[in-house]
This record gives sequence, structure tokens and C-alpha cells, in this order.
Amino acid sequence: MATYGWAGKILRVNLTTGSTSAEDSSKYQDYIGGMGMGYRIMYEEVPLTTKAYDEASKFVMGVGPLTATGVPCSGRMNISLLSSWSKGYSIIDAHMGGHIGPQLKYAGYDAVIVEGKAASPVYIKIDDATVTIEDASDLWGKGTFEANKLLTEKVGRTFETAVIGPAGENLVNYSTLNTSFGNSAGAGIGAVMGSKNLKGFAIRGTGSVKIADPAKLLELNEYMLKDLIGANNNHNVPAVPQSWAEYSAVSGKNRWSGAPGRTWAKAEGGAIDMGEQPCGDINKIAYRTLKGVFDFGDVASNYIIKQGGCTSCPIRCYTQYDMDPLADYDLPTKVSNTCMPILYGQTFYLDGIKDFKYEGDAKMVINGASAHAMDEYGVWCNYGNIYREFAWLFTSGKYKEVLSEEEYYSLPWDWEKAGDPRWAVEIIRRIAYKEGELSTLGEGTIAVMEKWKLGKEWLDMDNPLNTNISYNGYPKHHGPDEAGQVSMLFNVMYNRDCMIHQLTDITNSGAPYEVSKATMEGFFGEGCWDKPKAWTPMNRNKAKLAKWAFNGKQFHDSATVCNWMWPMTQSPSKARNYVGDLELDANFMTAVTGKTYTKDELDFASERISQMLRVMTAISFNIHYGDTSLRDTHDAIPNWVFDKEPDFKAFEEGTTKLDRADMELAKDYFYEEMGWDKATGIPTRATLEKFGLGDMADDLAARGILPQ
Amino acid sequence: MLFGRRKPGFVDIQKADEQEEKVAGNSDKTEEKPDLMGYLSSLPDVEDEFEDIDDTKSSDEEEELELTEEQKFAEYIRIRTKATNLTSLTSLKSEIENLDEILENMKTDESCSDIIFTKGNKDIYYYSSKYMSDNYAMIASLVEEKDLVRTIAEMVLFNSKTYPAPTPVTYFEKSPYFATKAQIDRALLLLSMNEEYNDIHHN
Repeated sequence: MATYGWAGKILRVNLTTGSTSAEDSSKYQDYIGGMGMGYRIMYEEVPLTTKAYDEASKFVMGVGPLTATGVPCSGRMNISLLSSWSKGYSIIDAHMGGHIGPQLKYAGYDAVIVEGKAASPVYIKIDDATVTIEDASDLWGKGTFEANKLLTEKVGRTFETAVIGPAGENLVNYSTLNTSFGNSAGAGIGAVMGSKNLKGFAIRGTGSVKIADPAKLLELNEYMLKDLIGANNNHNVPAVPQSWAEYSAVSGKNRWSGAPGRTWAKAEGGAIDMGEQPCGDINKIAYRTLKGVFDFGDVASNYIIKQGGCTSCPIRCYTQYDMDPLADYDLPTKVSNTCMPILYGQTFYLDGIKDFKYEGDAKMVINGASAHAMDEYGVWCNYGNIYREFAWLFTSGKYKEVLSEEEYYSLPWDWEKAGDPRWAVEIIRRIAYKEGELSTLGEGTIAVMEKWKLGKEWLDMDNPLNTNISYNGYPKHHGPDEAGQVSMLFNVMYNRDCMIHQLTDITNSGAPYEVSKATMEGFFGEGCWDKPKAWTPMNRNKAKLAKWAFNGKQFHDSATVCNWMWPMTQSPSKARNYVGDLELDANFMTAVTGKTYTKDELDFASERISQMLRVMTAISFNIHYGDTSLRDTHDAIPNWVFDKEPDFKAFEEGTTKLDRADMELAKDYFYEEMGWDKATGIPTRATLEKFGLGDMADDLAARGILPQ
Repeated sequence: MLFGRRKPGFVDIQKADEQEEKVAGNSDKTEEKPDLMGYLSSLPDVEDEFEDIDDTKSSDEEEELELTEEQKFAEYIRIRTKATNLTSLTSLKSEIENLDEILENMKTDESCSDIIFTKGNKDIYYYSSKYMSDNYAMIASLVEEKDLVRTIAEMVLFNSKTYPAPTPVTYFEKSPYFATKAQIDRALLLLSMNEEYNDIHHN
């Protein structure tokens, strides 16, 4: 039954039996939605002994009480699934923006549970309450752009669609679910869907979301847009000086990259200048972020049509390009992306790349081809590991051992040497179709390490091509080089890269250090916020800050709101001393749901999700490796974090390396903050009971891993 | 235009120019659409970001007469500030005979308190603190004086002290400096030969 905020129903689709049914979602409201709901459902319904591609495996697509309510940046969708590629094969999430999550909400669902396996390729069509499983045999085998187009033609343009590509169909662990806009959910969801013969979704929702206090929602919206929001990643000062602004990013590089003289050069009707975008002028917020220029410099303007983005988001972070040089290679020229797929394609080119049409455009055009191919084939990069491992394979000479001569010479090396964009496309195609030994790169970092007998020391090496932040198969994601021990802690808490942006949003905002420090210490206490490259030893306030960032991420993926933008920690407003508002999340929840949330209550609800993640991780590591502790296993930190930059000692100015003993202290403090046993890092019964998770405590006890 | 720049905007530059021309030649155009105006009038009031640049006031003599010389002067500075322009004392002196009197009277007029100035090496520059930050006014005065060597030196010192952060040379290629690489290279060479700036290092 619909309540304020929540749609009220969970859709269950069983692909084995072809049955569909709707269930009441209200019993999951304590888990907020999205990720929280997904974790609880997965825990209740999918034993952690299940393998990701088993018929018994399920996945849960979830939105939350704030999704599609008009709350700024609330167009996200979370997908909970079992990992096929990271150590422990435990619970993970994929996330996507765009418009499909809001459509699901408008159709009347908070979540979709997909279970079973279809006998032949199908897609799920959700047209409000009418849900059908449709034949997708004509879509199977096709890339995501073509398949989305065909599916849209089939169901009509009023539907939002998302499909998997060949990588998902071929059970490539690194695979995605994609919309036609460049929105993609990664983490292997493509192959989990592929294992179920599920090509994709077409969703149309014509309903609405009930708001408890619309006037308050509007008031909060206006307040957020006028006084709090910045640009992409909520960077709160412009990249270059603007007349109204006291500060700008001296490096010239932050995500508030729109500026006078910077244009959408290929905009319909002629170039559009970004001009100035003063704080408080809500109609110019969308001109603040010129992501292409942030990624590739001013040369990118020449190819930019406009910035696109998600439902309810004034921050348009998806740069839409027309990269006409790609036409010379018979490659698509229209490219849209905002993150990893469009940043590291040049790494495939061991001999470097060359400019195409303008000075300095090589990296951008190569990435345009690479990003389009990643999306078309539905390949996930594991936050860049696929590119780094490719480069390492060849620069280290290891390729001589693992690739046959036949395979090596079958690669079109003349394209590589010429800086031909088709080289990147061909590498990605081979990975998507599991062609040759090279395609092991698509099976995951752990698979690469084990199959090529690299040993654990491979993850320890101090090398720019190794950013693995744990021994579990995923890299740092705004790691200890950005916020010392604090970001180190939350980087190892998940079973994939952490995807936490709360602190990089501050570190890289461009605001003066003292300004950001005052804000952070105002919220989290003295000593929580170090100068860049000048870490101080661990303290309690840093542990509180790490806990806030960790739990906050769970809220964002449960509510659902964008973790790149939320929370509003800093502000562009001089009148506010650049201080944001950490109460805003709770105030929005109250206005939308009609339930009264304080910040502390919302933090508590978010922490419940963190506790579930930890319990499920502990169970998985116990099942697969017999581990009775997470501290020195799941949470172990590779040596490079401590041994890099040998000319420096930890805590010296100029280095971001960490100290081993200090990091053990950091774990002590963090575990205490979270209510986990210090020796094992596993939640205690008292902690779990406090969050109403007594059944999980019983489960841990039955397995003999509940801390005594 | 003291800076020689277009007024920044978020609309197509060419179209904006064309539109301005059209509006100038068809000032009574809005009267042809009474229904639309009626509809707009029926809407609740919203904040008008351009309310301070109310060009209809030019035809409202009564209202204009109510403004003092100081207030009209302040309004002029505000309009230029909104367009990201400083207004130099020299240029004002060349256009306003009783400038000294106006500036003196402004000191006692509360409504003009946002009109302040920054001192450059060559001139004094007025701006409205309502629409321009003090730091930007300092930057704008450096740009206005077209002394790139001093601009680089001052900004490197300012950025080192304020953020603190080193200043990439590319910083000066962007708005509002828009210096070319050749200009920057030459300025850096001159800067390296000037003992006054020997605390500024370049690598």
C-alpha cells in the first residue's frame, strides 16, 4: 500500500515459472529502500552459499522514499546482487542514474526482485501494474545501444529501457546493465542477468509519488538550490575566478568547470557560453558543470553538444559529445558519459596516442571510442582495474608467459602503434566475447591473480598500475591519498570499490584548506581534517568522520539520492561561511514521508544497513575461507599503502603514505565506533540487537563467529 | 568595456545579440500579446534577478528625479559590476564633472555603502560589493592594468597564502586573464629577472 514517499509495493518476477506478483513493501521501511531493502531481501531469500550465476541466485533493483520526489539529485537506482568476482562472493551493489529508477517508482514499485532463470532470452516489461515477461530473442546478441533502440521501438518511447550487452550474455564477470544515455550499473549485474537469460527491462510508470508536505518540500528544494548546492561532486567554488566568488580552484581543475569563454561549441543553433553561475542563481546551476572540460581540458569544448543528466538533477554531469574524428574509423561519433568508461581508454595504448583534429584532443577522442565500446559491449572496468591490468600485463612482460604467440600476433598492433581508436574497441570486444587469454581481464582482479599465478604480492606492489586497496579484488576509490586514514577505512568496508564521495567532494572542492577545515571540524570535531599530504596520527574524530561517510553512503543508495552530490557538507555561499547543512537529508525525509526524522535517527537507520553489510560479509568469508575474523582478512591492507614513496616517512609533509601501527589503531577506533568486536571486526550481539538485527546475531552465533 | 570582454551569459552569444537588436527595434512588441501578459500578471510574484537593472525606469521621469546624484552614480557602478566590470576613477573623471562632490556625498548615503574601490598600481577601481567579491576585484584590477608580470607575481603570492596552493601557469590562460602561452612565457622570463620577485619559484 502506497504511503508518503514509498510506492508501497515490491514486484517479484520469477523467470523460471513466468509468474509475477506484487507484495507489500512497508515491512522494509526500517531499511529505508534501495540498498537497505535489497540487503535485507537478499539476506532473507538467498543463502550466501549461492553462486552469483546459480538459478537460485536473485537480484533486487531498488529505489527509495526520495526517488523521483523532486528532491534534487534523486534519480538513482540501486541493484543488490551477489558478487561473481570479488573475494568472498558476498553482497555487492550496482548503481545507475538516468531515468529508469524514477519510472519504476512511478509504476508503483519500491523494488523488483528477479529470481529463477528463463528458458530463452526475455525482457521484463513493466507498464504500471501490468507486468509481462516478453521474448527477447531478437535482442539477444546485440550491443546495448542497438538493443535499447530496438526495445524502445518495440514498446514505445514513453518507456525507459535498460539492457545488458554481449559481455553480460557471455557471463563476463565485469559486465553492466546500460541505458541508451550512457548510464550503467556495473559490478557484474550484466552477467547475473545474462545467467537468467534476461536481456533487460522496459519500464513505464504513469503514477506519482505521494508527498506528505509538498510546501515544505518546495521550501527545502529552494533552500538547497539557492544556498547549498555547488557543481558536480558539490564542489563549492568555481574552477576559475568568477566575479561573485571569493575563491576559485587555483589548480584550475575542479568540477565547477563552467566559466566565461567555455562553451558547448556543437550546441544546436550555435555555441553556448557557460558564463558565470552565481551562488543563489538557480537557473544557472546546470551551467556550472562542464565535465568534458574537467576531464580533458578546454579542447573538449570543441566537441561538446551539451550536458545531460538524471531525473530531478540540476547538475548535468553527463557530457554529450559529437566526436567527428571517429567517423573516419567508421565508429559512432555521438558519445555520452561522465565517469570511468571515458577516462582511461588511453591506457590501452602502450605506445602513446596522437591528436586528431585539435591540439590535445587525442585522449578525449580515444576515450570517446573506448567509452562507447565499453557501453556497447556492456563491459565494466572495476573502477579502472581492467585498464591498469591490461597495461601492467604488457609493460611488465608477463604477456610473454600468458598469451600464446598466436594470440599475441592476432592483435591488430598496427592500430595500437598508430593510435587508432579501433584498437581500444577491439580489446574491449575480445573481453566481451571471452576471446583468448587476454579476456581473463574481464573475469576480475582475483581471477587474473590466481589464473596467472601472480600471488598476493602482486597486490602489494608499489606501482602506479596497482591501486588495489585490499586483497579482495577492487581498487581504491578516492582512497588514502585524499583523506588519510579516514578514507582508507571506508575503502575496505565493502565487497567492491567503495564508491564513497563525501570526502573527495571536500578534498577536491578547490576551497581554501582553512575554510574546509573549519567546516569539517565544526561538524566532526578538532583534528578530523588534515591538510593534503600532511597526515596527522589517528584520532577519535577521524573515526567518527569515517563512520559518517560510510553510513552516509548507505543512506544515499537507499533513499535514493546521488552520492556524488549528497550530502550538502559545503556551500558556495560566503554568507554561510561556506558551511553546508547536514540536517537537510533528514528534513527532506520528514517532508516527503511524513515520518519525523532527526539527523541522528537517519544516521541510525543508515547504520543498520552498514551492520547488515558487515554481517553478510563475515558470513561469506566464513563460508568460503573458514575465516572467523574480518580484521586481518577482508580488512587487510596491501603493503604499497605503507611502503610507497620510500623517501618519506609516514606523517611527513609531502606524502600520503600511511603508517601500519597507526592504521591498526584506526581500525580499533572505527570498530569501536561501529560497535564491532575489536579483535575480529564483526558486529557484537549487543550492536545487532540495537538495530533490530537479532536474527543476524543468531546466524553469526550458529556459525560460531559471533564475537564473545 | 574596460575588460574588452562580452558580458557573460548563458545564452547563445550570437542569438543574444540578435535578440537585443530585435528588442531595441520593437519596444512595443509585448503589447501585441495581451493574453500572455495577462497570464503572466496573474502569476504570483517571483524574485527578479534583474530587478536592479530596471531599464523601464529610464522612461519614468518622476521616479528618476527621486534619485540623488550619488544614487544614480551608485546604480551605474552596480550595472557595470553585474557585467563583471570595474570602473576606473580615470574614466569617471573624464565623464563626470562633479565627481569629487559625488564621492564625498556618497560617504554619508547608506544606500550607496556597497560601492567601494580597490587600489591598483595605476588607478583606483570602483565596484559594488553586492555583486563582486573583494578578491575578484583585486584580480580584475590586475587584469585591467595589463601588467602580466605583476599579475603573476601577485596571484602566486595570494594563492600561496590563501589556499595555500601553487599556481599552475595555465591558470593565467583562463578567465579572466586570458593570457596566451607566449605572453605567459615572456612574463615568466621577465619575472625571473626581477629581484623584487625572487621568492617566486617556477618549476
